[in-house]
Amino acid sequence: MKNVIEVKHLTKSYKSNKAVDDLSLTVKEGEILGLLGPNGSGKTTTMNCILSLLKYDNGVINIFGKEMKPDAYDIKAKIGVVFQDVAVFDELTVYGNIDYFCGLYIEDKTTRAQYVEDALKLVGLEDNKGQYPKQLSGGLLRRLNIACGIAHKPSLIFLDEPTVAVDPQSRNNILEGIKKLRDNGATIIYTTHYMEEVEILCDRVIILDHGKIIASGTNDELKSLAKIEEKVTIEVPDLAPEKLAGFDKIKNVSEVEYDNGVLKIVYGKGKNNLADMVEYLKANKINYNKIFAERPTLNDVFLELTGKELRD
Amino acid sequence: MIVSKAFWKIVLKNIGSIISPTIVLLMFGTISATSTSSTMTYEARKPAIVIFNHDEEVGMTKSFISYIDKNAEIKTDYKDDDRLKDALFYENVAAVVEIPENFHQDIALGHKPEVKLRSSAGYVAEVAKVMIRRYLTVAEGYAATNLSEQALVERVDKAIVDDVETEMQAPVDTSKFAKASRYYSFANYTILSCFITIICLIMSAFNRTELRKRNLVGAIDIKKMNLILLKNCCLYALAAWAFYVTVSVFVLGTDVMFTTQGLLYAANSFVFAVMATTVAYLISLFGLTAGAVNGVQNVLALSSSFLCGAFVPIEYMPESVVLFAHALPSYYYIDANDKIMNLSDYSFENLLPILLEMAVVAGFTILFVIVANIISKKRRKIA
Amino acid sequence: MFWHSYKYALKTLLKNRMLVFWTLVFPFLLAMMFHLAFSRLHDYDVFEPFNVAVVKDEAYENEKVFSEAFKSLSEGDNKLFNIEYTDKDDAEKKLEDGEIEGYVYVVDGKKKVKIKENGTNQTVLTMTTEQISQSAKMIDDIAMREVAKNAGREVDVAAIYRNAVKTVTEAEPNIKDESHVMNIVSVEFYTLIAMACMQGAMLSCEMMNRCMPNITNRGKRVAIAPTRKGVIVASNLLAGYTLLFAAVMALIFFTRFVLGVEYGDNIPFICLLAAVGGLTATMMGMFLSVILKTRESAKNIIIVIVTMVGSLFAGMFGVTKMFFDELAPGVNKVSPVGLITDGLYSLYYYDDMTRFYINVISLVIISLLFFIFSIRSLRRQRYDSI
Repeated sequence: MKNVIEVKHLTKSYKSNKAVDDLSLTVKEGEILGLLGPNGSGKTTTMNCILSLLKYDNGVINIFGKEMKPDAYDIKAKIGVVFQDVAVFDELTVYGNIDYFCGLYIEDKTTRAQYVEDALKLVGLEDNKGQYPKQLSGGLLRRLNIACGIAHKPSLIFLDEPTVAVDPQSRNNILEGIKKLRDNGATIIYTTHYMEEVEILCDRVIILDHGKIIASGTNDELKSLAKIEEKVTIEVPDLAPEKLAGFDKIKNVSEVEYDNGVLKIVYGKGKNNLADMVEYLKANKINYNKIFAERPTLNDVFLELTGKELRD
Repeated sequence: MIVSKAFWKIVLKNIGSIISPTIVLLMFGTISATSTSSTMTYEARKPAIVIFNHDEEVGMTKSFISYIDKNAEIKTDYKDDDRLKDALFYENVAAVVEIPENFHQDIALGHKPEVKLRSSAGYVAEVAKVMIRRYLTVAEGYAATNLSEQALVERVDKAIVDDVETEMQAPVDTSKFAKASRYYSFANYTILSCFITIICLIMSAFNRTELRKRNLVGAIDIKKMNLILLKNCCLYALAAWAFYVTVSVFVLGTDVMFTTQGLLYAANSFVFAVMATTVAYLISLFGLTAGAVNGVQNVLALSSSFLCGAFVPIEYMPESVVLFAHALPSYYYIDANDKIMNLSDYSFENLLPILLEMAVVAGFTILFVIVANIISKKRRKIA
Repeated sequence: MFWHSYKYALKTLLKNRMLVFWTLVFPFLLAMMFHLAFSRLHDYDVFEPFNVAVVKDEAYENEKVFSEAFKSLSEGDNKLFNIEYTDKDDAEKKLEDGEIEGYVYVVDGKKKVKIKENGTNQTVLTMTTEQISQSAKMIDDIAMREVAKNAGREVDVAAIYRNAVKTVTEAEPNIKDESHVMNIVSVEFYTLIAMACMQGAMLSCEMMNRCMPNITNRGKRVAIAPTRKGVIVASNLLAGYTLLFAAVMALIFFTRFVLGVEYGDNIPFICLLAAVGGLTATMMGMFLSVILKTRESAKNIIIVIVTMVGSLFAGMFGVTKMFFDELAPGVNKVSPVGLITDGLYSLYYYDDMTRFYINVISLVIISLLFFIFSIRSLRRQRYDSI
């Protein structure tokens, strides 16, 4: 597969603060790449540098095999960007907004009309096209923001936290839409601090912290970094202290924590751990209300790598 | 307490947008109120006349010039150029008189030499023209009776002297307070626009819907909170008014402001400032955006200033406008300023009309407070 | 691309209520207010006769020439006064009550005028009385001299008087009035036109902000589009300028044909001036938008100050432009409001076009300076921070 974006040794600082620190990455054609990191980790700055909006101190950025420059109009024509903040005209209708921004790319009117309709359908705003942004709910407004960014059918799409503060219904709609875009052949860079979205959506993930890449790979590759196989949570209203000590000795268990009637057990490796645990509880006559197992999350990966939570 | 604190924090945060319009407005007020060169100046004054004399200054020519000198102010710092044209246009110079060569001989011989005259528009120019025409009429009238130039000069000089005595019934020196009146009438604009802008700005910060909801469910009684807000608005208004009066002391001088009249100007503007505060408070209840407030502020302040005579004396306005102006509080405020200017003594009889007009402004205040309460109550239910 | 962007820019402008208010409503409101406030300021043609009293006693009756002349002024269509003959106490009371503007009486052959306060009517009364008194004095003087000349001889005194009256009343001075009397109130409207042109700065500031990625998010969209920034900027500015020019033209035609403001007859030159003035304001807005890194409200405050102080100096608020020209000679030479006002004024008042062109050229130079400084900064393609 071809590399759509190649970034080498990108460095960008604001005064003394290094926002992006010697960052290199590649994006392959047709994939959804997740840029994951806490607020202020340099995701948006990296994106703006790639788009040639920001000056950077050092580094090389190639898109579609050519150097990206502010006047590289042939490259820009194939890019679509959905910015974090809603960027639309209050004075234009939903249709007008999409048509205006699409018109910056597509000159032919009939093609454009078709494209605008397609974008409306993609984000599910067909019934709202005559409305003004002020009349839209937060979620619908976000969808409009996306439609404005992708109506011209770009082959490379940047999405910067498109689901921040969006209701669940709109979020699902947005995520479905992004998948559709990928299925239509677009390469997508998806910036977020929601790990769940990354897990659902992304083919490959890059985790950023303090402007540096601290990990990258597929979901599974990353999770293997967490040194956790499984987490089992058990609600045990009253557990005698002498019985608590016994859990440490169970096979594969690497960590035990008991707090407020909830027992958390981390398995470093192994299979069928949950079944084994149920057996153990029965054998030791420990009464429990609820028991469930979880696979490790990217948050666990982040915690493992940086010692802090992805989200505060 | 916490509400007041928040109020003044917002004031401080917006200090930039508060100070700059205040300064601009003060500048307007001061310059407009104190300059003598104004389209509004209509008091009797000696016309300014420029003479271009192509003749020797002897005999009749000398007599003519000294006549003008006695009855007008001869301006010598103008050449025949654009500046003079501008001065004529802007009525800085009432008339330009051009005396032809051999004027003194020709007029004595009854040849009627041609005197060129250029005048500006306006009332002072008319006075100047009548004045010049009169001299020449007298001179030519006598010249027709065959006199030597010497005898003509004597006759004309004697005849041209005014011997009509003008008395004034109650001579009031209004000039001293004319500037004060203008300053305080201009304050109509300053006070209205400053108060509306600033109070609306602050109140809109408190009245934003989300915040309103939070305040409504909060521990502080909404009535109490409104009262605190209103109280702080008044405090702000008081400070602004005091500042404005202080500036007037500097601009107009203590001999104007530290008098009974000065006190009346201050009192009158205080009553008006209270009214303006309630107007501003009332407008703030509509929760307009900053841009809309700016529009409302300009329309209200400018229209009331224009229509009620803050910029141009109301005598010059058509009757229908004056009639309409009676519906605005600014009319009574500005009219009271004019009455204060013309005050000859401080008898109750003379003060009564001024006090009545202040009472009318106070009446408007009460009206606006009532309306504000009604609106506020209605809005509370919606919110 | 250009027209696509232009079309939408114009559409959004027309839908922006605040901008439409300031551009298309506010100047018209002000124009109407000016019209109302100033409509009678210079109406000398409409002279209303006013009430005066004359104390008709023996002393007055003795001044035959004077009383006759005075009487004639209260007769006919062009009468100056409504005269009421009465006694002194009554006249005094009527003056006190404001029923009359003043009264005239004679004591020992001396004419006196009594008024309550200074004013236009009072001056007219005083000056007229002086004039009549003077003529009367002259007639007496000339007649007496004639009688004295013929001392000892039989003379027809009445005929001599008739002659003297003839001499005096027919004396018509040879004054060539070259006055170029213009309505000073027009200047108020010129400042208004200039102020309306300055709205172009607000418009272009708003339009530029839309194109600047470091100011608005919409600007980021523009920056990543495969279109030259210059094309977008130009189309947006042109849209703002179109609206402005249309508004200013409408204002000029409204004031000219509805309110009857005099502009002279050079409509094409007025349009030229409005076009150049609007351009200067547009460039100023662009300059401020590009150069200043402050909040939008700070830019607006600067524009408002330039506009309002400019309007003050150009004579909008009652103090004449001439006063400020003498006070601070440079300001009106660089303030766009001052230049536009002066341009309109010189078109109306001057026959020679030099002054008009100086104003137009100054505006063009200022526009160019703003343009050059803006472009230098606008050509920067990547930003330090956005």
